[in-house]
Amino acid sequence: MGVVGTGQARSDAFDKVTGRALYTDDYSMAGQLYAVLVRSPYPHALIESITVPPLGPDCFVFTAADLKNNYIPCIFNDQPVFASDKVRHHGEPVAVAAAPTLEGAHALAESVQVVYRPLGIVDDMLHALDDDAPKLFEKGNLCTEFHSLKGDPEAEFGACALVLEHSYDMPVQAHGFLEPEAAFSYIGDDGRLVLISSTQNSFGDRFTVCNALGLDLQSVVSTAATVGGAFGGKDGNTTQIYAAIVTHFTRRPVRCVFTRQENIRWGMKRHAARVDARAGFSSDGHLIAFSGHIRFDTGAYAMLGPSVLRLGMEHMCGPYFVPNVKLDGELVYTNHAPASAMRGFGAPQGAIAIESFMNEAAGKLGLSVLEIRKINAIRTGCAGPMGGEFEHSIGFAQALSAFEKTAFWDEMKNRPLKGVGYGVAAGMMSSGLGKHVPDSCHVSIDRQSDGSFVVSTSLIDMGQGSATALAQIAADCLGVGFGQIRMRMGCTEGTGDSGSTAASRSTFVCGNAIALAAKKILGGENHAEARFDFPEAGGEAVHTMFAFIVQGVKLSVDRADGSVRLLDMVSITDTGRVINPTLLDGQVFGGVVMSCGYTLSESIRYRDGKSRETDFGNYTIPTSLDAPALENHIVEVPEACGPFGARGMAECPTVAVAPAIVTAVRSLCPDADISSLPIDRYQLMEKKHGVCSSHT
Amino acid sequence: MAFVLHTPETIKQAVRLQRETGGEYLAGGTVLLVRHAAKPIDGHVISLQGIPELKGIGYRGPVLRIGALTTFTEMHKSGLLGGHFKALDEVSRIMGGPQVRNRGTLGGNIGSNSSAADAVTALVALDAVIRREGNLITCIELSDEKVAASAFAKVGRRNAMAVSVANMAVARMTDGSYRVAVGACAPTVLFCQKTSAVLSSGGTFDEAAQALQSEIQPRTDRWGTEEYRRAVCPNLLERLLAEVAP
Ligand SMILES: Cc1cc2nc3c(=O)[nH]c(=O)nc-3n(C[C@H](O)[C@H](O)[C@H](O)COP(=O)(O)OP(=O)(O)OC[C@H]3O[C@@H](n4cnc5c(N)ncnc54)[C@H](O)[C@@H]3O)c2cc1C
Repeated sequence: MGVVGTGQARSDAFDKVTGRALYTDDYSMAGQLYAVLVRSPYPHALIESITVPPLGPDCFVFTAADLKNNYIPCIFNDQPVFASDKVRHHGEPVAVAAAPTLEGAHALAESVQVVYRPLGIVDDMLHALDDDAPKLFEKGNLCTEFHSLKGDPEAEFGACALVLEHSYDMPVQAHGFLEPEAAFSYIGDDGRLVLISSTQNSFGDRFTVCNALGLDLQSVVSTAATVGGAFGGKDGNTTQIYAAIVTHFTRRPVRCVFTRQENIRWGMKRHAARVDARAGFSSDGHLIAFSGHIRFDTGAYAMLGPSVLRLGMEHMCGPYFVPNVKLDGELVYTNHAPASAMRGFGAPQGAIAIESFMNEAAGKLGLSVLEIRKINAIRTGCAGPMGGEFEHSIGFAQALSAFEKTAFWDEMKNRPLKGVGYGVAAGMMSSGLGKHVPDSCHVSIDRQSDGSFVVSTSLIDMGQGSATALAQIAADCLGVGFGQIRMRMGCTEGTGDSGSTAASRSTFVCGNAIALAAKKILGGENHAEARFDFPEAGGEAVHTMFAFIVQGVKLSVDRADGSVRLLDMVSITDTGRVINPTLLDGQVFGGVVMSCGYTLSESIRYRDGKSRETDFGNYTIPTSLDAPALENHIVEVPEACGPFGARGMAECPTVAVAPAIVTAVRSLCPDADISSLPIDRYQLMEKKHGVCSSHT
Repeated sequence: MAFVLHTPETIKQAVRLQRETGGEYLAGGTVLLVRHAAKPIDGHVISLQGIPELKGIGYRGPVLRIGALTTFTEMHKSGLLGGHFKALDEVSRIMGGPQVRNRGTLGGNIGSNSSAADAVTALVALDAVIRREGNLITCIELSDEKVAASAFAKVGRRNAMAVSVANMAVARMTDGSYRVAVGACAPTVLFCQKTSAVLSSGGTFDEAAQALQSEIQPRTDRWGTEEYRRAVCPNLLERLLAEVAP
């Protein structure tokens, strides 16, 4: 009997609870410097001059002038390492200051004199493309756009029995990881620059550093420390380049750790979105036509925004087959801190529209919210919303059936409690980086003299538990116990580039690579390497493999103050074969609570281009008292090409929470207009006592 | 200047040290340390933790005396606030989170000078007496003879660790009058004189709600809007009046 499918305890648990695990901030070395950024006080301004004061001993300042290439490699390469001619968001780095103490580095950073000429700002993405909007870039504020058309939705809407239309404004969300962005670097004994950081992609960091400094790739070693959460917010440069620049020029160990303020104000974010959608149903509940338009606010730079836009559009119809689909999207620049990847990667913004339509249509057409979803549920072989087809296993219909058997559904259908709102929603989330992005995983396995194995990959366990799940896969593939496997993850040394730990891909892509390498070991080798390529989507589709979720929420609303009390949240997850049910529950519960915050209390609000939220005191993520009681069940519809039949699911639980909550709230407050998140409590209150009159 | 910590053992010493150094008192530190989070403290700090006279909660005759250094956890666990001082008990049970309630003190809540200080709203409604020695708050006194019943409610953006968007306490006094206090809806915690008068003279709820609207001066800030605060106050009043009803 193997360990796959068991709730094997996490291999990192003991080190974490005993404090033995080394996070980036735990590293220190004699002679180290602290790096602090000189940040722009303006959201949009021309830089007229940068003057560095005379530097004391052990004090250093570096700017764009010191770099070989002043940009951060990404999709569009539009983001400088240091602003040199123009700043495009409040807090944008202009220089890095380094000194032997943190206080000294702050003082030094403050002493750098930058003369700015402030420009008009784009503070509202809805006006970013106006003719008179200040331009962030010469080409204007349209970063990129996306259009796709299948069938003839405009004509079909006319023939539909029911056409629903709604717009939503979705907020900027922060990842809320416990460990802020952090990097530590030094020159190793062999003269190479060593970068240890809180990251999702050590090869990516190495490339960023080498590109900026003009180094060849072999002269930098990049490793992930123990990472205290990431959720997409550490997929790309945060602190890494700044530490590395200072180490490179000073040959000294350097620590660069963001404060929580820096994290909340200027760390990457989930894109704010304006969603306009329309859905047409036949009288028997078939979704005939859908048109969706999304505008995403990418802030000052593209970062991963173009991919987020594409994925958001691709997921906008949800897990439903629709013959006629029109999708349009825009990614616009504003003078806000850049948005980039965040768990769900554009899907949660659009899901609120289609899932709310499903629930509304069910009510109007006399179907249950599960029936209407069953009628439209995608199945393997179905055409996708942009053409191509769903090629891999899909357990969505099974998840809907399983939901029907829950005590939650029984209560909701047959004996709903008075004063309690019930809401159901479903979601799907792709796994894999998508077409046109190299998506392979390299693994090496080394047999040790004691008969145990070291399994190496550059993918990273950021806290999601992949080190444990992957070791379970390795143990079963090699036919040894879980204790015989040691995972070595997140380093540029020893294995090839496996890309970013993102897109719910690790278990699938790395699990497969492990299986391939293990076969060689079983064939008698002591060292084996293997590479697995994520299967590419056919046709126009970007992604080809998905996880599915059906979620129900039970809540009450206090009409006196408009607060929402979440009681229960039940999830049914389909991710193919489950490698570790305990870790799966952890992913579901974490994703749900994160999304409860998205729906009810979290939002970065900009005023005059500056984030009003500055820390966890005012950026209000849910506490344990705000979270509902959580329950997760699984349906296992195995994936033929997955390791032991698994598909990836880490992001899936963030997709459908908001529409489930919004639906339940609407059932209790039918007059409330809920068109933006987080839900405005004012909308939900009883307003009776002379509230609007003026008083003298 | 540098950080200098003083640890007096008596109220007298503390007051003298404060006068001589101009330093700040430190009780639980949940406000002071947050205020200094960005920059290290540079100056005199006078810790009150070593002054036994400031601690403890107990009755002297009909007067409940709460030392300024008493924490919210200590107040709630004392069991002495359960009855007619329910308003303060509720604050002690729900303010902040467990860590904040373990460290934060009643004196510090008053000293924090915040219009959103939850305990202050309760104390105003309860017609508490605040005893001072110089500018040191030494104890708070509540009288069984004054208060018949009381209740408190707060609205925050989440269920714990939340600054009040609005809070309210209502006390029904033994002489049949009412005292209403509101927090976070004016530059200071507000004793709602007119509202209290309307209720005390047997006015209707609508009259009281109108008086309330005329007294509060809510503003829109990062926590909530003016319109939200105007809408929530009468709702809280209605709820709390039901709770304190004879
Ligand atoms: C996460 C968090 C959540 C919070 N939630 C709430 C909440 O829900 N409701 C709420 O009301 N508050 C809340 N607070 C604020 C704070 O915890 C309370 O105001 C608490 O009562 C302060 O007491 P303290 O002993 O910690 O004060 P300290 O920080 O020690 O002192 C605060 C101020 O009062 C002065 N001071 C202290 N004691 C005396 C005294 N005896 N005489 C004169 N001056 C004195 C100090 O000099 C200082 O200026 C929260 C704080 C945090 C950090």
